[in-house]
Amino acid sequence: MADRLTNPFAFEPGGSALARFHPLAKLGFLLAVTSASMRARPEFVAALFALSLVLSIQIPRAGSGPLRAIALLALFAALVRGMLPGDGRLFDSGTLPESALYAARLFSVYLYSRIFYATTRVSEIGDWFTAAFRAARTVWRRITVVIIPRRANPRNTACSVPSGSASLPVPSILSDPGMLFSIALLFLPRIFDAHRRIREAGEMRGILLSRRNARRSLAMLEHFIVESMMIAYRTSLAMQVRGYSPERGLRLSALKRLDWVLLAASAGLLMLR
Amino acid sequence: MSELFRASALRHRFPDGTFGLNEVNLSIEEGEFVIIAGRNGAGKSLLMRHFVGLSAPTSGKVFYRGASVAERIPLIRKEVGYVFQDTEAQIFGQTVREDLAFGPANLGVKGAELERSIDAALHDAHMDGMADRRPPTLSGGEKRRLAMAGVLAMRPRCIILDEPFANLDFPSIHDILSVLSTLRAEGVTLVVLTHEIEKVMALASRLIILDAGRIAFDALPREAPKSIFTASGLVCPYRECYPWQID
Repeated sequence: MADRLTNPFAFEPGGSALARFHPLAKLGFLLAVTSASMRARPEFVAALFALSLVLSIQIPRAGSGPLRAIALLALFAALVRGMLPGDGRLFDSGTLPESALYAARLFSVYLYSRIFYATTRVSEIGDWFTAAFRAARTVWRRITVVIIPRRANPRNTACSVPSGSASLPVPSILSDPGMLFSIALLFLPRIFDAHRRIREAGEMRGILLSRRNARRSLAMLEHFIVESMMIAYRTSLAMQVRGYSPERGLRLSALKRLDWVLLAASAGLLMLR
Repeated sequence: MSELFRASALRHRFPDGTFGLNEVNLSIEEGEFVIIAGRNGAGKSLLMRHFVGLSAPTSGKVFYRGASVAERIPLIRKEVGYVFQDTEAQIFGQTVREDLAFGPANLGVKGAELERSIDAALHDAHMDGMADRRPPTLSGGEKRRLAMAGVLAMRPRCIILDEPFANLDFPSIHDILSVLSTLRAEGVTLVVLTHEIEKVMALASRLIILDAGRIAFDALPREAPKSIFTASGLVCPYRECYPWQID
């Protein structure tokens, strides 16, 4: 429960109909709906906002932090837009519809993003990310094949015969960027938790960061970096003993009919004016 | 019973010149339930890291099923599960089910067989009905059992558990012991690294006590003299010498 309150983009397991859509179809829809929300006409934005509210009903409630932040931003934008219009009035109420439209655009983008992350496993996106990278790697290898000499004669370099071929190397860290991405997202809350524990322990021993004691703060930073590296090290060991290899098999599901419908809707949204 | 692990004159020297393990000779047979006990820093975890190929010996040899550990790494990954003390660091899924799929999927298990492995692991770890829970919502004891289930889903022949009772309350310890009893009955080789021997001694078939990187005792648990526990920095588990017993 705690991480749902602190992380509004946490995955929500359950039988939501949205969770059954293909991750790529949902990602395409998120990009299209974000683009449409930020540029479409007011009536379309109102419709998209209403739809985001309806879809959000399926998702359990998260912490109100981001909503409050967006509300504050929208309020600030409304004040900037309407205050002291220059004709002696304090506030121009005629700017309110435009401000409301701006707020609806921001809330829509937030709600659709939350729906996407709450109904999509990070590993699903990660697997597709890795698949795309591996495909790009194959293409890279094909187009960067260079002729290399099999064995150069140290006495007479003119004798070296070009008889083998190889491609430019691809760093091994790029073999599975999807897992890198998944693990990084999964471990962010743990890193924050480690930071909180170290900060609290420091505070209990009289190290207050607010007092700007650079030397002590650096000591805590050092502790935090070491702790983060230890978390990463223990994680890598655990992955190793559970048989992880960067060339692991990927779980890639096929697009179904409903996914194509969602992609078509996304294409339609991109064409909205 | 066939031999699983064997260490022969195993030594591990740290960069500062101290020995983490010193002349360790040991073999573990299939089907045994071994406790490896010792005070903090005695070399328990280090010994197991050598057994699963996570550390390299300074001198001596370590074998798995008769061949050097370095040659057997793929087989070890398939047959030997390791549950680390830090459970948080070994949870990779956003749900319990997804986490359990991590290991078998790495071994190439797919489809219905993968689902069967997950369901069996959930059952064996006494976690039925928790498949769709999110790991952050689990209690400390449940997370420890999830880490065990993650290993069980790979259907290992041997499981190494590093301090499985650390930071757990009594009901959680009871749950872990119950899982261990089930696994023992199924013939899985169990190696438990702990200094809390009183919790698991009744289940074990063998007790090995390490002290300063050397084997101080290796026999049936009931054959251990009372003096060995205090000499090795352990709690004497017997009623007459248990230090915190209330009359």
